[in-house]
Amino acid sequence: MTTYILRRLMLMVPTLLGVLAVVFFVMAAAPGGVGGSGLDLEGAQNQDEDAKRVQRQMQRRYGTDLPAYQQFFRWMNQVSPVGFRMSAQVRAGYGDADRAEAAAALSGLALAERDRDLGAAVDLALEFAAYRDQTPGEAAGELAGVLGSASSAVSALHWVDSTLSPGDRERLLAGLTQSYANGLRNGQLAAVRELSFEAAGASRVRFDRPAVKMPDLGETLKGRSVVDRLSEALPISILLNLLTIPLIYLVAIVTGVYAARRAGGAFDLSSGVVLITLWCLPTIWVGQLMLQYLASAQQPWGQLFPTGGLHSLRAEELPFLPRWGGEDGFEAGWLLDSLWHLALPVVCLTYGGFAVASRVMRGSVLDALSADYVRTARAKGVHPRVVLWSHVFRNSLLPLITMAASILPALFAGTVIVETIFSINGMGKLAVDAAFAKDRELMMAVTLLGGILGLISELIRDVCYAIADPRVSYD
Amino acid sequence: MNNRFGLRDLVLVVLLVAVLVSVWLGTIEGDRRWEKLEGVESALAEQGHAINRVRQQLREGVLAVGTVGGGVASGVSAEQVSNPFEKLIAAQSSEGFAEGGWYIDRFRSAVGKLTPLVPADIYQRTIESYVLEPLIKRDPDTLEWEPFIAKSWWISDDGLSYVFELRRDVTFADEVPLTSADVVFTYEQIMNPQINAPALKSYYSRIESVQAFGPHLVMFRFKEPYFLALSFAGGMTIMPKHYYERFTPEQFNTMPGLLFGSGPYRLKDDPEDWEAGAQSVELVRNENYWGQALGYRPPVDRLVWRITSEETAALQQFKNREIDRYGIQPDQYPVLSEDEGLHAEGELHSYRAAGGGYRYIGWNQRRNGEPTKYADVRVRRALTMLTDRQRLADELLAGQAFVTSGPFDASTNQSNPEIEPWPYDPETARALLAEAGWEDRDGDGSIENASGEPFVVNLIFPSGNDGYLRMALALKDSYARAGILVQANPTEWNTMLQKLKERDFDAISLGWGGAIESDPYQIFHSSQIEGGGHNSIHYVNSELDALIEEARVTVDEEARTALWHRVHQHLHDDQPYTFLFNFRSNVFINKRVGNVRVTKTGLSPLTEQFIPLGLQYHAN
Repeated sequence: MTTYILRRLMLMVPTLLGVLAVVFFVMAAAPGGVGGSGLDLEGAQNQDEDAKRVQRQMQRRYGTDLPAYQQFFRWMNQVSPVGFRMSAQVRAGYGDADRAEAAAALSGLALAERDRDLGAAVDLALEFAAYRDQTPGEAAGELAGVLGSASSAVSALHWVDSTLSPGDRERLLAGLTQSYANGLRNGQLAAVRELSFEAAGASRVRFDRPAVKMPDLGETLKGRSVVDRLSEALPISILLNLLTIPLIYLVAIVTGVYAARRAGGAFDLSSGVVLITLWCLPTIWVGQLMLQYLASAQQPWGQLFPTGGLHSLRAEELPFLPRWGGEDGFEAGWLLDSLWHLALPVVCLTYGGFAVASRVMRGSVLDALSADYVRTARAKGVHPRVVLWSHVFRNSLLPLITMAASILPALFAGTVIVETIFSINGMGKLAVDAAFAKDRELMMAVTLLGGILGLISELIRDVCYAIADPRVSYD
Repeated sequence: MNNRFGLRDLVLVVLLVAVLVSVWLGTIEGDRRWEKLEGVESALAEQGHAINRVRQQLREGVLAVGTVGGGVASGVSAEQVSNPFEKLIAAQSSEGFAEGGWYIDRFRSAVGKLTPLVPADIYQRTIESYVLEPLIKRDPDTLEWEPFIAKSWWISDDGLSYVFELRRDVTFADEVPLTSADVVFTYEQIMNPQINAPALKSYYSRIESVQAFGPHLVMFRFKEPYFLALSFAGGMTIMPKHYYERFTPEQFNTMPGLLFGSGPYRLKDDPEDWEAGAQSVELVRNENYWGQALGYRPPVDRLVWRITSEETAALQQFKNREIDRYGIQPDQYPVLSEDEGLHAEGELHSYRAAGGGYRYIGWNQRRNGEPTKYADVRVRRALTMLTDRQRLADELLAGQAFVTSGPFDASTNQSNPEIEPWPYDPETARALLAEAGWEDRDGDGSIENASGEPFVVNLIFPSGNDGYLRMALALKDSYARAGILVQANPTEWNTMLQKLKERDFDAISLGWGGAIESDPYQIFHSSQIEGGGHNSIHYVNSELDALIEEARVTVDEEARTALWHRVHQHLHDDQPYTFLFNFRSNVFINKRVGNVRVTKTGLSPLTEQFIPLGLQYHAN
């Protein structure tokens, strides 16, 4: 068994790679590329200079000026725990000692009068050090030379990236000279920085020696950490699933077994009709109806459920458990408030799942009931209840285990509609929003998570087979 | 049967699950308590600071007596300075005025970030406008610039230098005075290369320097004269130096909730702890607001924005009194404007905001290096005359749109009042087309040019939008009567932008956002054809170019307005676009909210509105 699990785990790696590669290249081939076509905030196009800046920023962050396969390797390197540190990570590794070293080398310039300038210059020097494989002291020394006097502004030329267009180079050098004329340190730093980094794209990334490093899922387009976004959305999805999956199974197993026991009877027929009718109802429509009839104060029976979200506005001030005898008599408390908010979404998520699971259960119980060992058990005079629950039930669980493997990943991604109707920010909405915004790092992280979950649930399924059915063995 | 799952096992499993669930619930409760405790602690700390300040002032009692004179003196000068809150204070005398209550609005999607400058969305800016304040503000009724944090300003004769004199009594929410150092800091923060604010940087790159002269004078110097210079400089919202200085650029770029300023409202908790992706965003009244010394206290206790992604849910929330505001889309207008449930709770306000933008059809004059049929001005005019814009507005948009004659909003000075939109006139249009060589030569009902090529308009527009689709189909119908075939092509947004960028389209229908004084340079100047600018229709008019260039550097408003009027005339004559409509906004506001009125820029600001006593049901 252990070797089997190990082998399966090893096989997961190429499968996952394949999934990631497909998603990555589909995204790369989509019109507009990463982040769409330089959309600005209102969804209008960026203006000329803006568009260039955004484009450069994209190039530095995602390497969008490289061919797609190189971008893929770059991303893989970034998320892998073993690989090359990139300059941004090298820079993040600098400590106080390095800052002090850089500050010492810059002390010749009269920057001390305003600490802000010194800080900015030290930051710039460290950035140079990281990108150019110099020690912080060396880089700061060279920067001090460039910033030293107006005449040495020209010496900034050899810092300039060769990918700059002649027009851009001229404009930036003019800016540099101008800021010298005005004696603006900040302007000088900005110009030097732009000359050497801003104007150029991904080619400015230097890969350090290979090392064991922290995997980095990157940032969203809006500059927030992808891990943060996932950690906001994931608990909500997990909560919904923890409530939904057991509920589906409980109802499906009970109705399935009873329907099979008297196949063709009244319960079998009526449960079949009801569950399949439920299965046919589109979630989006049911959700809207629920909102209109169960969550409206203008209905004659009043508002029974909240309109959306996971807590009321004043949830923070509520006590945790329900209590009686407060100012307004009964106070629901945080726990009940949350359950009350979860009721409609959970109903929406479950009602469609009953039918399939229940019918599958019914079929396999029927199968087992006609098996030889059941007849033998009956002939031996075993109590019918014992036959049903210990002989038949266990043997008819296999198809449900198969289904579970597909339900788990589907519920993580497939709750978009319910999440949208009830204004819940779970994984489904996160994934769809990421896809629409062409937010590559977020999309890839969601894919990675979904891929890992899918593969692991398949593994668990196979292990469960072995546990549920002694005939299955992997050794 | 030794592995039988018996009653004992069942009890065990149930117990185990129960223990796990209660441990989990326990941790949640622990977290909630911890958060509450933190809130109490920070409130205590704030009070402690306040007490310390009072003590300090008491200890310096003797000095204070000395400065009371100064205080009185500055009080006198403050009286001479106009009170920027006059209108708001006057509004508070209206009937039933009361302080307190919560005003609840709704956003469509979660707010990812509140930190100013770094790439944000319209939601962030809405919230920011209650927390950060600019030097000067436009009066919503007259659209004139009015003093606010700056009590006066001067513009040098060359139009390059803008000097603002700041009020002395403005403080941030922590009672630290706002000085010119904060203004300089804000500018430097925007221009700091490590701050992730590319869009703002390129706007503010027109500024050469921002200098402080003493604590209350600040000068913006521009590299070149620019007509929007005053709104750039004066409209910059001031960030407190002492607060933002603590954060490194990296922290500033990545921390989501760093929003703190001098405005009438502030974040409820410590901005550093603000969590993105929550279900609602709440602002509480800034109890130290500097306006209080001038007699103005923001009426509403809390401003809340709930996140409701679904329209039906939001509609229901409005009917349930869970939100106070519900805006309706033009295509929903005929149904929702008559909705009894909405009218039972709210009042419908219709307004046309100045600078609200317009919708157009753009005719691409050059494709693959060749001039297209639209390069002929007669064809473009004919197409405009074939478009029955008034009927489209009345029938497709339920009368919630107004025909516009050009890119400028008719309610602003920028628009030339003498220009009438081209009328719907198919006869003249057909004559114009014939003049341009487009006639029905083979008698099949469609028009062709001399080489027998039929007139086909391939119109692209954003997919997934019913409004555009219905309009395209209506156009197809009315153009067909003149023998023109319209192919309506709904196009996915990113694909469409790609086509715009590559200038690979025949005709396009889209909208532009507007401003009270907008800059036509990006869209109609011929220099914006190359290099991915917005003149994607290859429109060239050298006279217009010169006019736009001149207007942009004319600082004198009257002279500039005259120039804009001539720009408008050119655009009207040339019809590079068929200008379609401005839109009217329709918003339901809960009946309980007082002082809701229509101004030139939309509804009156929330700082003017109030919730009468007895109707403040959210607050209790």
